[in-house]
Amino acid sequence: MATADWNPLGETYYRKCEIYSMEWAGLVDLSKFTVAAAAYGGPIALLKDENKLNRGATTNIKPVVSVYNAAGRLLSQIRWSSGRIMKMGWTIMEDLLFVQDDGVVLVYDMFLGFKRTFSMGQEAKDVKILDARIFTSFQGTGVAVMTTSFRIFLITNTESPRIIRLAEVPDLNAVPNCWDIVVMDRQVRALVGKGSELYIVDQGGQYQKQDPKTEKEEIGDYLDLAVSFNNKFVVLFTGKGHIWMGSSDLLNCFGEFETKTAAKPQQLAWCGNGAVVALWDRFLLVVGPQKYWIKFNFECPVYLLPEVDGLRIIGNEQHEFLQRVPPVTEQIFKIGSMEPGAMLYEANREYQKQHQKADEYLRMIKERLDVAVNQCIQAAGHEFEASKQKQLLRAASFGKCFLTDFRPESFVNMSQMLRVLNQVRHHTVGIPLTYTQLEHLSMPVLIDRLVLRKLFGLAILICQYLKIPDAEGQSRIMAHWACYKVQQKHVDEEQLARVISQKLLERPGVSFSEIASVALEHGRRQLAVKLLDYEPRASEQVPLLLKMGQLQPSLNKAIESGDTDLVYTVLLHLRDNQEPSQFYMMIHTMPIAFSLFIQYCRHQNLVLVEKMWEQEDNQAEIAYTKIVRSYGEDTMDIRTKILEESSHCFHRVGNIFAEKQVEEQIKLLKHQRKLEDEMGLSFVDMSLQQTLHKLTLEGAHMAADKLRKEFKVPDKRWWWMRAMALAESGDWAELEKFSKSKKPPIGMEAFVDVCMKHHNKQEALKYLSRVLPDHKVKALVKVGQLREAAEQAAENKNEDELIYVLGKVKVADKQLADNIRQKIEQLGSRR
Amino acid sequence: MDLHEIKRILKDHLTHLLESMPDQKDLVIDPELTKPLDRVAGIAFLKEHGVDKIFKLEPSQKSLPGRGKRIYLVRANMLNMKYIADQITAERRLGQTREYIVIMVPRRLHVCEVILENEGVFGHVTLEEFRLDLFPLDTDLLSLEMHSLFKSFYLEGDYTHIHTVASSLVTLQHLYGRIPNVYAIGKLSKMTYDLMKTMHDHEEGQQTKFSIGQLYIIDREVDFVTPMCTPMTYEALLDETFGIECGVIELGAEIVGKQQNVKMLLTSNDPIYTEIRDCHFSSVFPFLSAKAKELHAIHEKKNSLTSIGDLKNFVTQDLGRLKQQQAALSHHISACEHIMKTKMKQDFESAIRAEHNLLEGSETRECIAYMENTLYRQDPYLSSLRLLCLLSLTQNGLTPRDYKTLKTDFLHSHGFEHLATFFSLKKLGMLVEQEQTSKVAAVKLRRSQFRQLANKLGLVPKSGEEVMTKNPTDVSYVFGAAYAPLTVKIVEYILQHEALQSFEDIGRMLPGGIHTHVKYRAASKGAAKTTFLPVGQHSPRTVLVYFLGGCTFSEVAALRTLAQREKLQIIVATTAMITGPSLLDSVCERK
Repeated sequence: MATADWNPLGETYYRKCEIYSMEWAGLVDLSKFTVAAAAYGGPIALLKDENKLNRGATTNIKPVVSVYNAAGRLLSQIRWSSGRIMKMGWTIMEDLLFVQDDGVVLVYDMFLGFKRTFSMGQEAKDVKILDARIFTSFQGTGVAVMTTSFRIFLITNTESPRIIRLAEVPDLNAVPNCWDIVVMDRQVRALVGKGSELYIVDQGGQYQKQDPKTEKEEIGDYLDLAVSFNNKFVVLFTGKGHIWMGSSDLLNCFGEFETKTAAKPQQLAWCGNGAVVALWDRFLLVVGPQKYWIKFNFECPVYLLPEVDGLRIIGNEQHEFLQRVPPVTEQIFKIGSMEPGAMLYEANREYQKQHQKADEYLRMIKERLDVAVNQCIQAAGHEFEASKQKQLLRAASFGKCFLTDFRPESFVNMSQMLRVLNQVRHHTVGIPLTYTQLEHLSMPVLIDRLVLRKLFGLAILICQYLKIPDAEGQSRIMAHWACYKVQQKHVDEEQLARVISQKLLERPGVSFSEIASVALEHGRRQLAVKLLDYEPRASEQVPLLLKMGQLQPSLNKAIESGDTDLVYTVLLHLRDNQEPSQFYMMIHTMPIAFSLFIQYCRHQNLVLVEKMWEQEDNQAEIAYTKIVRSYGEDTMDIRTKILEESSHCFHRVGNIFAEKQVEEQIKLLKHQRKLEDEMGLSFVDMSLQQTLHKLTLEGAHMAADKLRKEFKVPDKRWWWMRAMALAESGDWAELEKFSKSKKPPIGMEAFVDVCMKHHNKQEALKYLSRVLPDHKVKALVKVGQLREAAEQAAENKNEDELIYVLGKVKVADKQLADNIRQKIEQLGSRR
Repeated sequence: MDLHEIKRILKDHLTHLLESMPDQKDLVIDPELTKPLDRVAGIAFLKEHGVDKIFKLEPSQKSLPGRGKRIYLVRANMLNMKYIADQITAERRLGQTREYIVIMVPRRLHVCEVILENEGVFGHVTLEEFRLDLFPLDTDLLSLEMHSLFKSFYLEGDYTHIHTVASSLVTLQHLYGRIPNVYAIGKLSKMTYDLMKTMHDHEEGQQTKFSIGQLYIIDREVDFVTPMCTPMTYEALLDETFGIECGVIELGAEIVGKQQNVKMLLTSNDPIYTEIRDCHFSSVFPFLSAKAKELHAIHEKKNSLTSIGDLKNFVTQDLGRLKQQQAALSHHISACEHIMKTKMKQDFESAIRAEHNLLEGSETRECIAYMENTLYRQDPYLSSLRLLCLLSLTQNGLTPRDYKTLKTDFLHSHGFEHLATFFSLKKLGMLVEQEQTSKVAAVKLRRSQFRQLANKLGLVPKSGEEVMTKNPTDVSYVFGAAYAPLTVKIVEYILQHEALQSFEDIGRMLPGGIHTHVKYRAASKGAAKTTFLPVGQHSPRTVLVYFLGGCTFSEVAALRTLAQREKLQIIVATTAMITGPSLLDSVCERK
């Protein structure tokens, strides 16, 4: 009978089925151990409890920690060598946590390999801790400790511990009877029972006294409490044997129950979300919301572990699973069920007996056959025994035959999942997952867990079976395998590198650098170097090469990659970790690296740039860098000094021209400085020409002339400058005087130009007569005397000039245009 | 091929980044990025995604007011990181705690992280990257708008941004398929291509579909002559006169005769602009006046409308468009007038004559005299410098005597700091002194490079040759029929000689040479134009031309002409839009 092990609890049924008979049977007596098991069918850690052995007597024997899989197969064992363990528990990553009395948390992997450690803070270290809780938070796995000063400190993620202190419970002077952590809305709170009062304390520094509504007048002290797997429900146990179940904010009560015993249960836990279990020695009580109850007796002490959909009961001989019978299973197997699924199941049984009743059953559910098939598929998922799974799947398959448009995915998926589940449930693997748990956990995580257990082969087979893409399936597993492989110290490095490369080289998405990095962590440098050679991506390769101290190769690889950022990574590392001279020698022969570093220096400090060029003995670069740097200096003395240095550099490389320019600049600066003092105007940083211009504008003709002589300003430039400056200042008299001082080397037309630039036609006309015939046409055009210009051009017999003038004639002036055209023709005909 | 896809992807990415910080936040933006961001997203878009205040990142500001959440959007360089670190440190010292995200454009750099670490703020910021590389300026124009790139590439030997360019090409090919035929012209182009190939190699899968047939990566180093020439097309002149930034120009209030400055978006959405942008400047005015008359006529039409229905049609359909066009037209006219005015001031004609002589290689002495004059007259130093560079580039350097006198004149006129500028230009090879060698060798040397290229590719049209500037088919029209941009001529040459095995003959004359990677070769010379893609592929004949170190609007115009003539679609990508002066300005030394 399928319902033989069903126990009714009100409307629902609970069943307890054996999942393993333990391999440790006869070797382990749980009463002598502290037990910690991981959820989702995880491993079981046992700590030989000295206190349980010789009550109260302190011994110096270090305890032994052993880890078994869920089927009781020993995975690893060590003798504990650190401090006193207050609490032991698993993270969601299946790492084993040990919380010591000084608040230090040690993290080990499943095979008891030490991973890392962190502390729960100074106060915990100073005053020691009383108790600890390990809980699942929204960020991962959290740890909470209660110190001897009754304060609670917690972290929400063991991967990146950040200590949070919770509010204090008022007037807490003694060890509270019970406390636990509740995670709600991304908030972590603690629920503390102090005598007959109940408090919620949170990380915002708030505490709230709670008064759960109860039907009884007095319920006594709170002795124990437990939070459900999903953190939504809480159960309280009080001194008067009262059990209170409700929501975790304590506002809604779902049920209360009188146990009629005042003894605190050894374990109080939720079984799924529908019932609470309490354990007294060998007596287990299951309580449902409506005061219904079931009891079980055990022959030996057991350990309870809540799962998302039930409760695992671990004993000396057996490993059992207590769960509410899933509704769909109930629909099919409940006695007298008229559900379509039940009918289909019956129909299939009759069909196998070749009985015509099969047809009758089928007819009854004809309309709802699709529902029936789905029910059978679902129910198959909830069975542990392969034979029952088969029966149900056969029924589904049978029903499917009569449906024309039934989509086969759900059937195929379920068959595949069950196949995987049955594999991992096998006692050699020992992961007793239910279908519901697998859905929560997801397939990739399950595969990760297999990898964690070093069951690489099985993981790969599953990936192949489920057709998971190589990059996220097989390749990843292979990479993990390789990481594990490189840790095997007894295997020859040469051989390892070969084996690994053979298996992994053709696989997409394998990161050789990661494997190499693991090899390096385990001190196998040569192997790491070899493996790294297979890494195609320089961005992965280079940082590791650096870590290994392979400086030159890393620089080479970085440059090869063409990614300058990578080159920088190496350069900055080299600079920080090497002697300057050595560093310089390295980059000296690599122009790309060298210019990049110069670039970096340029942003930091120009002096650094000079130093680099000094190493290269590149005097020209030094000189120019000094010039640029001189502009950044404030005081004239320093500027001059730097410029002088620059001039020396030019001298050294025989750049006489530049040397002279720098010297002149120094001279100019001195003059400008002096002029500033004398005239109270700013001159520094002007060019020579600008200085002269400004002096002329200010009427300081003597000073300008002095500079002109000193700097040997060419005549033409001097004349242009002076003419422009005089016109700009409107000193027309001086301009005229200047024009007559000698024959202008820039031609008289320049004077016309500067006058017109300042819109003084009157003055321009003065110079017009003195313009030489060759330039006269242009000059006339400039002052706007087009007619005269045309005549002059004709006189010059210059066709180009005539065309030029014609181009300037406005459209309206038709007469003039015609006139010019005529002249052009005349010129043409004469030729 | 629709380039707007790129914009969409960029927007999606930006949304994701902005939303990664929930609630309202402030945005501090690198001034260099404001314009590109404006083109990609716009203020309204930012506000939609929770941006409250927008600040510019300025070194002078030691701390900023505003909300408790802030995003920095900056180019990934060391200076920016310093500024950010300074602000954060200052604010923390004031006791203000904020959430900071630093978004680096176009990718996270380790150097930047190191700087944040050294400054002690690494722990307080979240780092992100925004892969803003190429974004569309127009339907056929993509740009990185990284103006600093030229200097760091060619002068400082900092190849950081080769990665940016290569990855932008990879992204582009993700979108539009692998480009089968690649021509890398110049040294850096080769490096870019190699890096691009490595990046491709790390990916799996082979794409077979492609919509771009050819890729030309052109190194600016190959052709410095083009930017040194004075442009003649409308768009290029607008750029030189007003400076087009990310396709937008700002016309001063005094130019348009309004109360405030006018910002104008220059894209092919503006029908008037589309018609004149690539025209020779001389034909722009006639076109605009014709257009004005035409609009006027349409406007007049309303007087002749009799029925209410017609009137309604006119008001609802034509009027709005008309108003818009009229506004655009008046702005274009104002801009034109302003260009004319500026050009007149600088004795435009003499300058152009000197330039043309240099290109033709005639009357060099006169040109040098003209240059001296510009220096004496204190003309704007960039235009003098431009002409100097052109002289050096076309003559294979200046004679030592000319070099010394002109340099002295320049330094005396425009300041001593340019001694370093000259050194930079020498390193770039833009303005050099001829080596003192025997006379015969010197003559031979002078004949080489530019002259040789000019002869081989027909860069300088013979004087007898008439180039129709009004309806151009020869690309030299962009420089008033005096010169055809070398870069464009190379593309034209390869397009026409596609069937040839290699282009070694011209490659030898170019610094860095030409590297070809051709998957699908045309069968024979005659069939070059028809068998662009393998049989069975009916995609448009699309060509991508990518300029490293910047590209001028003259080149864009020339490529558009080429595309029209060869019946191709040419898409231009560049690291930035440049002009001769802006290019020189970026390497000039400041006081």
